[in-house]
Amino acid sequence: MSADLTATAIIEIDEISLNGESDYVHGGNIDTPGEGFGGDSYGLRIEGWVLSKRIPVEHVEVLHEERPLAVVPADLERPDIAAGFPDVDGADRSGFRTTVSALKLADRFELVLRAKLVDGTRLPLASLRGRRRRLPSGAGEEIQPLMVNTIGRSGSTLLVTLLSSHPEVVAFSPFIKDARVSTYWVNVLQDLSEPASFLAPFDPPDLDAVHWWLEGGAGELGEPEVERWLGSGAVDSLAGLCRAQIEAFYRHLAGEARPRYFVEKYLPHQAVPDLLAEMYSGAREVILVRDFRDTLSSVIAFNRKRGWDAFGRSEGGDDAEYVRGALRQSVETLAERLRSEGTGPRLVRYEDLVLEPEPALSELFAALGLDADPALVSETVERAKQSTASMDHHRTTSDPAASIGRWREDLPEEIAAVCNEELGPLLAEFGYEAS
Amino acid sequence: MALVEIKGVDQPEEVGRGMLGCRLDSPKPPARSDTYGFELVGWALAEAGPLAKIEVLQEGRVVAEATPEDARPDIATAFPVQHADSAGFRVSVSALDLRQDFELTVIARGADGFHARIATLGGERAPLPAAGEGLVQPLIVNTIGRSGSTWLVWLLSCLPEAVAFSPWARDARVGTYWASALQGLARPQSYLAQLVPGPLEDRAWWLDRPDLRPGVGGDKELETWLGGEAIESVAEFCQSRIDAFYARIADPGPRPRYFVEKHMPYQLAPDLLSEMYPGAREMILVRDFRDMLCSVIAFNRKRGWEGFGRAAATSDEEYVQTTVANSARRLLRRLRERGEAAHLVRYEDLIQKPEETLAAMMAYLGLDASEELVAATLERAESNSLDSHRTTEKASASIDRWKRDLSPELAAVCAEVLDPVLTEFGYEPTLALASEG
Repeated sequence: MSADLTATAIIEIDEISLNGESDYVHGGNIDTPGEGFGGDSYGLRIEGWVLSKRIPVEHVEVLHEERPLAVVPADLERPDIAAGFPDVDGADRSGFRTTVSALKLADRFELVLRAKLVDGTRLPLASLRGRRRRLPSGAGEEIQPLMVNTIGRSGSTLLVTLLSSHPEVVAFSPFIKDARVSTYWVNVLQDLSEPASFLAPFDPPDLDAVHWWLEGGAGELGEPEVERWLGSGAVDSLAGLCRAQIEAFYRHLAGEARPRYFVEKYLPHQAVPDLLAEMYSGAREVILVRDFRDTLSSVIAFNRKRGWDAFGRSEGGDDAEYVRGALRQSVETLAERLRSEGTGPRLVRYEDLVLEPEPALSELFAALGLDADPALVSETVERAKQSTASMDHHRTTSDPAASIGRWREDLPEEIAAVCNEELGPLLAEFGYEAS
Repeated sequence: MALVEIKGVDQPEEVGRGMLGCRLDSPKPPARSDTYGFELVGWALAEAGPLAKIEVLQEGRVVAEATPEDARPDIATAFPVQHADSAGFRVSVSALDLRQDFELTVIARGADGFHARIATLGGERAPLPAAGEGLVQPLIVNTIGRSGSTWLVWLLSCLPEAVAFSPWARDARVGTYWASALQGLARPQSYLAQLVPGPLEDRAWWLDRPDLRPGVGGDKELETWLGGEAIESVAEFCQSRIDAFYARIADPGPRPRYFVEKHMPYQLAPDLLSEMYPGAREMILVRDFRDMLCSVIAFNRKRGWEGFGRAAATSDEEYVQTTVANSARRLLRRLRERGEAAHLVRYEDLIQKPEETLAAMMAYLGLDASEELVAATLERAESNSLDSHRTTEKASASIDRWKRDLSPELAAVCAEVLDPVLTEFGYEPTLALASEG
């Protein structure tokens, strides 16, 4: 929780670690924000400098959970640095400045700043730890999000279909389409909450630019009170309006029915589930996992079947690299979410869902406060079976049960060993046996 | 009720130079759409090779485009050239990018600048539903840059019933911002992404997905709702944001009746705002376009870079023939289209007969236009200095400046392209004055 923020702060910085001089850089600093900073807007301005020794800096990256939020050149004038390093070329233009939206951060976050040199070397410069205020939640009368947070090819389509077959849950054609209505509106909220967008109406440089209203804002407004409101109260109101758009969609889809939840899929790296959990008092999260080695086998087979790489598997990258990078990171995030109590996450294992759907669903429905009457659970499973009868395009094995433990046949020995090395403790944490 | 109706399609009977053939297969008039959008389907085949784009233009501006790449085995059979099998195109057009009564030109464009007309369409779209009687209403100042709009916005904001954001310091476009956001979210390339998301890592996945076409969601009823009623709901969403901003910056006391912002003649924002707000008002501000031209030239020189569209032209003559002439004609057309719903303000009257002109504006706005209130408003407005904005010593000195500032060559171009519009707005034509001189 971020309740310990000071009353007026939207964002606070608790700790800054600087890496200082190294073989590559004379030094660098984060001038703004400082430790103890309290900001009254969702926009966080970061200013500093970095001065390389031999290899010039191409740009500075701001990362959150290892993903870039901003990439900016380090070429702003810094006469103070030039004075401090009179013999170093480029010292006079070593500054950087960027603004990131706090709505792209978890409510407790760590930002990492690193410099990319022109030879591709990436140097950590600093890390900032802080907190942001949570978005205000709705009245609780809306259809609440039921968030299936998972890695692709873990059986999420099956789970969403099963859940949406319950009369109190609605989803848009889960078996045919992969609708992301809430992600859409949360992304609208995130992007309109960037200072580059909410400051765009003031002296817009080019009204003819297609997305001027998203990217046209620069600098400061010159009226701090109005700017503070645009970056705080107006953002809170915007969140309410985005929630109303999601509500309108699912009310329309549900027709006469009065569902309790809408169900959609989310990816582990997204901030969307956190924001939805703030915006909706009754949001619930289901962490869906499948033996990650089977997930890997399915990703490889599915990518091969359709002819292009997806699920975070980079084009041309090898499978070991995928396991060490994207897959491990996603699994770690899911484990961390499960350990935290933020959204009261509920663990569902794909294998339980396939082998013993009724007990697995019964337990899940009960945990979600849904009617878990045995007859209703049976009907739900039956309804889902009918919906999934034509699932062939989605499958990479003949039947779901046959896909359990497929990795023993499908994965080359060396990739299985990489999985064991990289994912062993995480597999155990989710109840799977490491090989 | 249909939200869009295509009333006519005109296609050239003869194949244009450089083309092997082209056809707009649909829509076929009379055609109707239940969403704020429609799709153009057809094919186009150039002699030289694959076309780069199909563009849909309104008033000379691109409002939709697509790459022709759809399979057309029928065209491949008819034309035995290699690129004929992918000569098909489908272009999604969002009606909120169009005037209510629209005319569109569909052209095929090659990579080398070659282009040929495929068709011209005429139609009508339904206005957005008017809502929010209780909201602060837009007072639209539709004008060309350097026509005295900052002074007019400032003057209007001195009315107790109107609000504007720092007119001298900032050029606030909050209404245009939210109208643009509405247009962005109302395009099928955006709202259909809810049903068929693209790579979520791509920042533009929710906004700009040219691969999304009507029908992609597989649920016609839901797509119709998303493209109709849901867009109207987004319009209300945008209105509420505009209202929140102006309520926030307004002085304490009664809610203002109007928020004042500048708009440009080619923009759709005035149309959309006029539809959305039942109490919207529009002032068409003109200044002798020759004086305006002198002011643009002087202002650009003063600040050291080319603004007001001048950078797009290679000379002042070309600037007059293109940007200035088009903008002036658009303002005239706007005045004719809006009729009594709009109020014409001439900058010269504002400077030379301020009481009379302000009183007429206040009457148009439905405000008390008593002598005392007019005088008090003018006094409040004139207490502000505008030195940084001026390019002449006094505002009155800027009237007819063209007679001394414009070169004879440039005056001749003005006479040729601007005289008809000048006359319509009540200005003396250049030629008449030259003959007197």
